[in-house]
Amino acid sequence: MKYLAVVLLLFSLTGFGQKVTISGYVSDAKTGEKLIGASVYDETLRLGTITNDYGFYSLTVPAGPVKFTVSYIGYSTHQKDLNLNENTKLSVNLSPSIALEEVVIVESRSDKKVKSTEMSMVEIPILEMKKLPVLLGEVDVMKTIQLLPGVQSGGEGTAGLYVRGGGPDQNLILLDGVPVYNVDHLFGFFSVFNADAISNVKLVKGGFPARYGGRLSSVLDIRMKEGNLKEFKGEGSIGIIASKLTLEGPIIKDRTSFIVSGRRTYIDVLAQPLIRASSGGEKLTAGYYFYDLNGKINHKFSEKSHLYLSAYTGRDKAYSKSKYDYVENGIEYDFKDNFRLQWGNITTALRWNYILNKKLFSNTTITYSKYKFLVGQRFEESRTENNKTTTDIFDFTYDSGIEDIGGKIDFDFIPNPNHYIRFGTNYISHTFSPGINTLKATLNEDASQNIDTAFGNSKVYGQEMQLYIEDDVRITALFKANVGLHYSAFFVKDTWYNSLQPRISARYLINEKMSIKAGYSQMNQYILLLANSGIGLPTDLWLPVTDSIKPMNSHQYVIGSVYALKPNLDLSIEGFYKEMNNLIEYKEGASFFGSGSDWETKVEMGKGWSYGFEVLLRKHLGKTTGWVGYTLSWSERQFENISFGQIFPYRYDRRHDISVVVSHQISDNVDISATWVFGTGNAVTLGIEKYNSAYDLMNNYYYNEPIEYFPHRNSFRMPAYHRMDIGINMNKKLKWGERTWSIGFYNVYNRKNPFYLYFGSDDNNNKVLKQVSLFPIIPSFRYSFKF
Amino acid sequence: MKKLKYIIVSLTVFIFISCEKTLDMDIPDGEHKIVINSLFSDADSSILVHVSKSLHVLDKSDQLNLPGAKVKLYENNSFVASLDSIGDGLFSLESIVMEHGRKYEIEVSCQGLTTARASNTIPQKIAIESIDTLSVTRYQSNLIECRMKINDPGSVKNFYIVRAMSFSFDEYDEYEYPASLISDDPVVEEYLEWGDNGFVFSDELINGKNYELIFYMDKWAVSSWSGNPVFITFILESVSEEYYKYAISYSRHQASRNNPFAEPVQVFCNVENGFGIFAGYSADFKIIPFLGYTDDGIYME
Repeated sequence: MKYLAVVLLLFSLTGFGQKVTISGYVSDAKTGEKLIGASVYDETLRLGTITNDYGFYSLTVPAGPVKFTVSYIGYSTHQKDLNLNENTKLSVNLSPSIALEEVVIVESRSDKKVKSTEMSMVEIPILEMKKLPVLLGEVDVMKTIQLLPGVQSGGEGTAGLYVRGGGPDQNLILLDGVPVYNVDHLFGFFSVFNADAISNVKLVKGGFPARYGGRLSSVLDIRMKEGNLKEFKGEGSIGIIASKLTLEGPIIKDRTSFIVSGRRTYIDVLAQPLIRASSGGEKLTAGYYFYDLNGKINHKFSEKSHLYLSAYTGRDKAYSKSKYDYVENGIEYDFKDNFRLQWGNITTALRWNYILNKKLFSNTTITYSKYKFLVGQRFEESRTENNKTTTDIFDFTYDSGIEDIGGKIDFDFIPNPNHYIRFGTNYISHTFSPGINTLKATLNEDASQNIDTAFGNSKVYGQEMQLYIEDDVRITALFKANVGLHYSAFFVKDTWYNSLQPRISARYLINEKMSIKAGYSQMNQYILLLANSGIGLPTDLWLPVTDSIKPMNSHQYVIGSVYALKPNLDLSIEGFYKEMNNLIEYKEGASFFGSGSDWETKVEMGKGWSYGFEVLLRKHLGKTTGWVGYTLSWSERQFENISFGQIFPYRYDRRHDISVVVSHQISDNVDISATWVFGTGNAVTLGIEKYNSAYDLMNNYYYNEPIEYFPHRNSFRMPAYHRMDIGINMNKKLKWGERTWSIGFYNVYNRKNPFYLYFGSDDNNNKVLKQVSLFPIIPSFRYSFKF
Repeated sequence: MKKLKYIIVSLTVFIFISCEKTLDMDIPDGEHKIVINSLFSDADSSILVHVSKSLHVLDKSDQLNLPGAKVKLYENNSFVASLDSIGDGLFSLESIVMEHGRKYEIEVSCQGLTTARASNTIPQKIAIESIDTLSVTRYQSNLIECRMKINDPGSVKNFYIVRAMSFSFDEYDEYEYPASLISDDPVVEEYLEWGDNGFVFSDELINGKNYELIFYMDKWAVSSWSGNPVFITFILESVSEEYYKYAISYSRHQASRNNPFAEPVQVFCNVENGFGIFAGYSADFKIIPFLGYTDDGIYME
């Protein structure tokens, strides 16, 4: 610790005369919410920094007059002449600009992108996200992320992310810094993130800074709102399938705030009359619903010390309850059958931000995350004779999941404008439950036959630890780099793995409007998702590496350029090459359903690689905002014992991927938006020829169909996917607040996009290839309100 | 209000039900190829080859035969003879002595199709050192435990198939059919899915060792309603690597066929410019008579 202090002191003193530091927080003037990534700038000396993930900044400049400027997209710029002779604490509140006009700001979003060392990183403001048309009117973070170049969805309507050729388990999805293991509602058609409770969404898909680790392909960092410190506010919406309500406000003004947000679907309630009507003499209730509940409390002890407690819980549940009774020969029989299928997450983070000194910021977090899947059935049979009732009960449950308890501490040390050092450590204790069956039977007739047993796979415990240090260092006025090291270790069942992962990304300023960037990152992953298919089934199991299944690792190289065409219009181009080792695939012919036993014997380890380039033209501000993204990429796999070792395309290898996202403010009250996506069809395995097997020569005991020939796995392309969605939002200010009517059309030109292909029969019983499509044109309505 | 409720319900149901549309799609027509299938052994005094052609996967026809094909056999690169057509796509050559260690090559030509070729050798015969059987209860069933001892040579890679055939007779007829075998022996890699009910393994775990392979046979294999004895022929085939790859991949191809959660499996092929398998094997066998079984589930050897 002593040496660390010396090192930090040396950094503070390097190359400067009399310096002063100005530090503090940048917040929203109306709500008190911290603003992440706001620019803090001395216009005279052209030195600057940005606020960190918690809204804190620290800027060290030579003593004397400064033109202190703070800006953030969508907010009026704060500018003040200061004469700094000593270290100063200054927290700034920015007011939202009246409309998203192209106000002149000192450093625009585009300028920031040009100057930053960060690569392959995209932030989408939640306001922009809320304007876009979506399936059934439910604003969805994951669906919006899928519209970015380099990111693909698995299939029609699903929420899984396939980033630069990686799998859906290779994304670290963080909600307030806590990993979320299953982000899907209703098989991925909706995600678990309620946009009303979210303040910021950031996706990193390459050039990873050292502070991130644990997954190969991306980090999706989602931050919840903190709660309004100034006044009580609420917002909500009523849509076709779900409604939601968010309330926030101060508990103690400017000191303690809360936010609570809930969402629930009501298909089950609406469909109940139909189910009852069709159930005949049986008393049947059945349905499906999901809900999400987010909550957060934020308390400011002092300017130096903030405490946050955030929690999320969400669940999907499908259920049926039936009851049937009859009387026969004077005996009354009563049958009850209860079935339930449910899955859900719980995450909690207790976070303490403490400013150790004007240049050193600390963030300490205790985290808890749990994902649980459960399927169960209970059957009761009662028999009443002569007022004496006997009941037999049969109860079966199967559950699986993962549970994490973790702690981490992160430091931001900003000794001077030339260095921004982050370091910290993270520890997670994982408990994997690969599937436990519980069986209970209570039999009145013969108690000796009663059963009360549990069987299946015992829990597996894994310990994961990470250490990192990185420095965002300005080497010259034009050349800046983020250099870091990430160390991780994993301990499971007497097996120990560890890895030291270098990270570097650098930018060189060609001029004020253009920079070139390059990066390299190595990533390691110690947990994997054993999935049956690409559609995100809740039965998919998270499992740790073992002594025979080694950790996955990747090496990614990125090169690119950012060009600010206008203050808030930028063009970025990136090329990438990523190689991945120790990837997992099921052995040929093997499949898995619901049980984690012997899974190691059913999988193969192999390698994969992906490469390509991405173009993103994005307009951040103005009446018209949005982006055009294009990705040209290749993604391939090779396993020694699959397809006889041939290289084959990854299922989600997509040669061309285009997305156009436009939102236009027609007037103060009306905005329209449209998205159009195009993607090369998924690669699937499908026979193209048939021929006789040698079986005919072997014997004639049974009939086997001819062999179906295909050149290699995933050699057939599904038809291309394309779709357009449009939406219109009509806002009106009312006495009590504001209301918005949103009307949208998903898949407006009713494209029959492929979901899957199969061989079936036509009316003449001829074998034909058939395509199943999901969503046709689907209208949606939503009524939203704010007060 | 009640009407409105039903309208909303109907709308919701309509949205979800109308989501599934089925469309017919085309698969591009590929090049049809000659198909050669032959599994030959040094125990036979003839070679039998099945010749056919591949068809588009959606072709209505099941007639894959290839009239007018010419089939030539070579041994150690020297022409041996042309094979005679004996109908149903089969070609044969009688009175040929095929030997372990020699390279056999087949060439099939037919007008309008590219000539296809394949070659293979017959591996060395591996003897069944002994076979012992015992009546047991396992997997909640009455089974016959079989212990087969083999001596795997260490100098070469060996590949094996184990099968068992049940032979019985009564006053009317003779009956022969494959016996179902199961095993949890660690060497076993795949069960045969082609009606032979045997299994496949390599010497990866037992190279150069004396090994006792344990497997189980279904009791029905030794049932005899006539009271006559039942003869079980235990067969150990020493197969070429190509045969082994074909057997495993074909079994997995069939097993994954109707499993929506399994990826389709490619079948191994060693035919140049065509499809199919041309592979050699040698076999050893031992016959054990059973006197049938009683209601007590006791098997008598």
